[in-house]
Amino acid sequence: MTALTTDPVTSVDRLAEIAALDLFSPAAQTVLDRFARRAAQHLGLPVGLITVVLDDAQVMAGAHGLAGWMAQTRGVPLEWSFCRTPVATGKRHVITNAAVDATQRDNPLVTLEGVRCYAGSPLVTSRGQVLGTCCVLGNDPREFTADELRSLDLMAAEVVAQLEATREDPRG
Amino acid sequence: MTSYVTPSLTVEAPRVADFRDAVRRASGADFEVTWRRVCSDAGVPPGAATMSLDQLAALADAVTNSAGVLGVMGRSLAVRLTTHRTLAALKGPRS
Repeated sequence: MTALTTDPVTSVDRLAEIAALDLFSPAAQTVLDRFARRAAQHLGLPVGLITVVLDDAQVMAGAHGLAGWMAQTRGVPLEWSFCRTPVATGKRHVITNAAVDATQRDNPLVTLEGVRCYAGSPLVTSRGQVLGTCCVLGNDPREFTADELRSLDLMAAEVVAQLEATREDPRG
Repeated sequence: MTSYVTPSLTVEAPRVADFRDAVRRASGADFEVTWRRVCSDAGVPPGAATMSLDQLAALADAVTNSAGVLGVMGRSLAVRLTTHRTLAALKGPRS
């Protein structure tokens, strides 16, 4: 089990920020599914996700194109999460070919589920906490253009603005 | 961090100790009171060292329904448990 340390992923402040927002209600899922579809369609990839990275797992709070068991679970263990990196760094993360990526080539989502490309922009709140990402995945290696990545960043900002409107105590 | 993952597409179910650890981290000095409350909400014995998957699922629901950081940690455990059960159910046809 992950210890609560200085690791930003397990930071109590970040988990408290997740708790303060409506991220998992059916209403939120409807909105976030729409963003996920937009991301996938805009970048021409089969899967788009709005992820929330928890202390020991990742939730696909919004999803488009998920199939098989992941469509059922809408979540994966933290150690399989591509989005852990942008949450830890606060920066956009791109993998053009996961099969040769040193950090992901042994990930079961790569070796067994065939994920090959990934681009994820962090969802950074006004309080500076990273909730998760707006991301896309595909089954073939792929380069991403600067325009595509910029659009993903903009969409991530739009997602956060939408989510922050649900904050229980906007002044808190 | 406990290694839950084997080289194949499987995830070990969280254990009672993982739930206790999450409640301890989120509740601090209020651990005993909080632990008894979530166990009561889940209908599971607070002193049990092991539980069935159904009991763990009830416990995951109870922890997830808690307010604040504890609820987030509960959701994390719930995802791991759901993933374990879903992949275990698929294992037969896959192998």
